[in-house]
Amino acid sequence: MTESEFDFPWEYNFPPFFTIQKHAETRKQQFLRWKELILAYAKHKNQAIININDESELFHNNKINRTLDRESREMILNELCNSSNAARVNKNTGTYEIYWLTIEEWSNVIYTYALNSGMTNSVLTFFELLNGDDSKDQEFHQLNEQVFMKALKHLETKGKCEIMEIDGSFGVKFF
Amino acid sequence: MRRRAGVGAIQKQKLEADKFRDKGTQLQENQFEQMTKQVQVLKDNLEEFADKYKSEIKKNPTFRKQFTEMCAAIGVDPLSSSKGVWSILGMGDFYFELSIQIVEICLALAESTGGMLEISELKERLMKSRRQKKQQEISTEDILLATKKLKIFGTSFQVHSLGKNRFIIQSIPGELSLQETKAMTVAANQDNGAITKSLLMKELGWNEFRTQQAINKLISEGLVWIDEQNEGEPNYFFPSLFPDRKLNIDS
Repeated sequence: MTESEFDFPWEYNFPPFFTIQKHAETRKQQFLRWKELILAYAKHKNQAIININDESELFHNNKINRTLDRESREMILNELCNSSNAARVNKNTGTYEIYWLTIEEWSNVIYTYALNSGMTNSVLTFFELLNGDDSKDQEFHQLNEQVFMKALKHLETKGKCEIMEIDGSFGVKFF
Repeated sequence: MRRRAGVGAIQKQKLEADKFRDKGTQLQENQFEQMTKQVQVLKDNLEEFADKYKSEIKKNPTFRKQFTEMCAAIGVDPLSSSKGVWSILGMGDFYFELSIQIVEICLALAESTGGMLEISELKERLMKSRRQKKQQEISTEDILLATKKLKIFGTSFQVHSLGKNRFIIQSIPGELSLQETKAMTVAANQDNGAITKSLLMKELGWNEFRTQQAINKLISEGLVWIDEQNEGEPNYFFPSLFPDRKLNIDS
């Protein structure tokens, strides 16, 4: 996969975007744009984990010399958690799992794929599902395994699949 | 010995005054009649002219502007009348369509611009959305004329002047104070569309209290965003005037 440059939205070059706005309506708009930006960025980089303590270009625009401070990052990631687009992994390290599709949405995408390609009732390894040629065009291709696991676990609670461990690696059977 | 003024003399005077008045009215009427005739002739000629240069008027914005001015001078409202000159041209439809497109664009952008949109940007966006359809050029005058018709929506869709040939359309309801308009005009003259308190004080000769009040109002209406990482003092940005946002028109 060739990595193309991420196309930042204009807000990224808008200096006040990096200062949390006091006016409620404006802040609402600002949070919305930040959420969109983080999800689009994570998706583009296929990056499932974001650490708010990292000096990532995501939170720091060198060109205009503006940084979103740690407290503000936390506020925005909390917003993402509230809309099921993120989950806190570790409070101390400041890591979050990012879901540009929510777990619910991922599980639907995966299950639809399994049904449409007639893969029900046979055991498939996580590896082939995630990295195999067959799933190359799928949105979940090369998805982070932790996120993938969560989506499958969600399906399992609905009785639509069974996760199994084979020699230290995972497999799944869809029903 | 002078004769004292009798009733007869007073009556005679009154009679004369009446006669004068009558003559005056008559003259005035004559003049009015003539002028009405002249205007009618002018209107007829104008219609003839409009018919003859129909395609030119539709295509060429400069020509259209001059023509509109001519109409305005003799009291023909190009937009309200679907009769006469403008029905020949189908101009009512032209501006009607333009007004709708203006509303669409303004509303689509309102969230990210705080409901303010510069006419120059609006024009670019209009041109872009019309590009596929027909080769009809539009001018700033056309946009202003079409926007005027949007006044029926109350305080939404007002046009504010930002000084030299620059206008901004406000598509959210609410009255802008003079202070706000002035502050916005100062911002429009900055490269990044931003102002600071001291800049306003310097440019407008305001005291600190008044400046702060104007800024607070701009913030509370969602027209500016505050940047606290600016060196020295906070910078207040108008997203509507921010150049990088406009670069996105083609995307």
